[in-house]
Amino acid sequence: MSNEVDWHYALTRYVRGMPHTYEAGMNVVSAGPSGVEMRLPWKADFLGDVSRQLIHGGVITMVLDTACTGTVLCGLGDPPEICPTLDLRVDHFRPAVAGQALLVRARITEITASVVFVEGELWQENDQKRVARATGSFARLPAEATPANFGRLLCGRPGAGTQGVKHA
Amino acid sequence: MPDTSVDLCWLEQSRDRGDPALVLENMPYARALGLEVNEDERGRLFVLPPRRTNLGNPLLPAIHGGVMAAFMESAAIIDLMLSLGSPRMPAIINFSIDYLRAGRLEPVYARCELVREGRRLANVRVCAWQKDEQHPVATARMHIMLAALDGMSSTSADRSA
Repeated sequence: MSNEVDWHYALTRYVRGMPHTYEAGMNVVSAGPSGVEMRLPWKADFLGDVSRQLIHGGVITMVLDTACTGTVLCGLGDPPEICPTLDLRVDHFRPAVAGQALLVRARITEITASVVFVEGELWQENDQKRVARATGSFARLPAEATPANFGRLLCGRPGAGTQGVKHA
Repeated sequence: MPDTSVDLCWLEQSRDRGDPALVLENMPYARALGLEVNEDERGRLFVLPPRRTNLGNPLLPAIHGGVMAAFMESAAIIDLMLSLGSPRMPAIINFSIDYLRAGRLEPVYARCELVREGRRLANVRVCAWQKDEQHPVATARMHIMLAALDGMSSTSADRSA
């Protein structure tokens, strides 16, 4: 059944359903069980240092967090599980500069019975050098912790149990 | 590389006056989140007011984990800029956050602790809570590189002359 899930569609609903990523303008480039790629177009609101024209480190963390949680949803298959983030660590290799989109890629490194381990990488559109890298871990909870309608909310086509998810 | 020939006198002014306004002016994302800098009897207190645009899960509702992280990182940077013995520009080396509870749509408070201030490096811990400071929603720690303003700004030599 999991090969029927359109993960690009599901994760697009996911990032548009979250008010912060919806407002930020985040979108999904590709998504599947082997990983996700997302893109955040440039906005002046993302600056963390006007004097040096650098993007806020918190924007980088927010983008990596979104991609890492997204890849957990895709990677655990159908039905998806809600896995709370335990922790996230971000290493900053070089500053992210104003005026360019941020691109992020995330994938699962290990799935155990109780934890999902994830890593993410971030770079900018006009430069292939990595700006930052993240590692995170997510808790797997008993099946009843994920609401019965979550899979439908996330993956469903419009009209099929989509209440509560905001459309763009 | 970023342009280093920038005027950073706002940092010295903000630090000398203990006034976060100029530091916040330089940090649009922190302003977009709604971050406020207050004081209480125990010192500097950072506040993230409840805003719908800061939510991740809109159904619970819960604050976006990345927003919580960005709030805490901003708090650490602002606290550092205002606390340093001599004004220096911070650059984050790494940031690590532990999520202990979901952040509800209520104010989040954060306090920072400058664990170590060296010549070139600083280590900061941040604790964030909602109802009770003894029950944090998240804790974070970060290493920050500190660059002397003299080494960064071509105008600082003129100013210090």
